[in-house]
Amino acid sequence: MFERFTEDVRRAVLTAAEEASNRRGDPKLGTEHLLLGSACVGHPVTDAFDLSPERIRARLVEWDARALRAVGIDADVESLQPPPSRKRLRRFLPRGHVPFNRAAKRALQRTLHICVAEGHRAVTVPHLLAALALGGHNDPAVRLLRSLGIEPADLDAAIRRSWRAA
Amino acid sequence: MQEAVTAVGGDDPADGLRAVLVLRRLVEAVEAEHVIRARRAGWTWEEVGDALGVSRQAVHKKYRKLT
Repeated sequence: MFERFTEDVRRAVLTAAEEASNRRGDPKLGTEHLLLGSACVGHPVTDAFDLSPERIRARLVEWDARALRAVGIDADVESLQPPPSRKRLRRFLPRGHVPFNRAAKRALQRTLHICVAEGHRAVTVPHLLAALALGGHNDPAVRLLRSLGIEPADLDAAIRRSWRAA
Repeated sequence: MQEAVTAVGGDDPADGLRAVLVLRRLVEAVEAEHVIRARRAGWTWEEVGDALGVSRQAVHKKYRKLT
């Protein structure tokens, strides 16, 4: 499946895995990490929508804090992360190879389908972004986009316009 | 505690569900830290297991490589 993936999109997926395991300690790689990975690699379309890694990370931290407040806990979410120096603690937290969750797997499949449907030879970051923009209403990447003021359909449309223009 | 349970969600199930995940991560980190401390202070695996409400074997299997 990955043969057609360009270096950029591979790096986006790898970065997503690193972000999921090291920074956030999430047990699975989800679409929110794929969106963050894409933003880390960057592309004119992410720049156009001001979709920066910093904004996405800040929003994810805010979400965790809001989630804890929703169950009555007021905590500094960043301090709940394993301190990087404590190697022995990090052994317990998922790291390195983080499995993809179902939504993330489906997003990668959609990425390839979009590439093929467009008649493109190589899968690039915009294909991944277009696939993420097509997620369902509760999909974390879709929610993340909306919370950053980006309508997923607009992102998808902008990407497709850039292909028409090329 | 009841407040914490019923406060769940407010309007958005995503918040309550995410809270579970964040708390689980916190529990793992706190557990690891204190199992290590207890072992350094000379606690036996049985004592640690009893304190955590799990078997000696369970706690040993999970933490033996760390302590």
